[in-house]
Amino acid sequence: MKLASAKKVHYDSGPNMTPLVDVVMVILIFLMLTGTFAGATHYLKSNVPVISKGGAQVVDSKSTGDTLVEIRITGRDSLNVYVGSTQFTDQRQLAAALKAVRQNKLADGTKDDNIQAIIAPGAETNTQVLIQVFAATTAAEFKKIAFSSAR
Amino acid sequence: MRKHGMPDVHVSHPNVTPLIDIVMCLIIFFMLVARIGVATGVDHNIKLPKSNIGMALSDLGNTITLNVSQVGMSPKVSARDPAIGEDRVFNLPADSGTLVTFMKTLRGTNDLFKVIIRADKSTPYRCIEPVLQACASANVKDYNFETEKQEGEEVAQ
Repeated sequence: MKLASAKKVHYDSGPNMTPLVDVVMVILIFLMLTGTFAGATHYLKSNVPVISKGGAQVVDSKSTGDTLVEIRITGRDSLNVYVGSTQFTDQRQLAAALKAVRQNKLADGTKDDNIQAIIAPGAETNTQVLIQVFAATTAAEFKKIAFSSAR
Repeated sequence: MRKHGMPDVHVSHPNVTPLIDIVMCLIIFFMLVARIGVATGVDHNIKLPKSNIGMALSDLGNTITLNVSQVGMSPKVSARDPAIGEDRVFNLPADSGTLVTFMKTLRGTNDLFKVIIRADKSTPYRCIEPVLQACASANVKDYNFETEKQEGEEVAQ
């Protein structure tokens, strides 16, 4: 006597894909966690090398007839900057003042390419403060920014 | 009268083939964009200073990255030598001449040669100045300070 179940058609379900999906998901999570994308960094550009005062000179800007704008950094860990005799401790105010200085020079007839900003840090001025001043000078749209020897 | 039994209920399992296709595409994407174990000469121990203004460098092909830090009271510069594929370390001021020769060799006659300076945010300027002097001696016309992007408004409008 044949049983009714013997007449059932057996469907081929194929290989079990669940472990494959699990392995692939683990690999995916590994790559997502360990990979590093392009870092969130940018660059402050300078195209004038350091200027020495006295002694062996790397670049003598005075011989080129440039108008110098000196920015003296007296702070070590905090922003303390002098432009002329005016002191600045705020980066925005410094940038605005430098922009005004540059505009005055341009109004006096000085060409933009002949205006040289010189950042004069102290020997112990840390890089963060230096970069803040550099950023403010860049924001003031100076085309030539150089660094002087440590005071 | 022929009796017809109830048809068997077929439980349809979800088709996972498209899911695997998508996941494989994502894996290939992350394998291509992720940089794992790629040596770029960057010292990740250096904490970069932050700035809210900066520009992107479009051409990184003609560049050398100098990692500047302070060891004791003296500056230390490390850079990846593309000729040997290994990092070179220069302890300034003793190795100043070697650093200048190294940059001159890399620069050659390429006026588009750029130097990227990665200095730790706490490094004093007396450690950075020798590096700038070396760049000037090597006749490098274009050097850039790498900084971290700082959120917030730009310094000046």
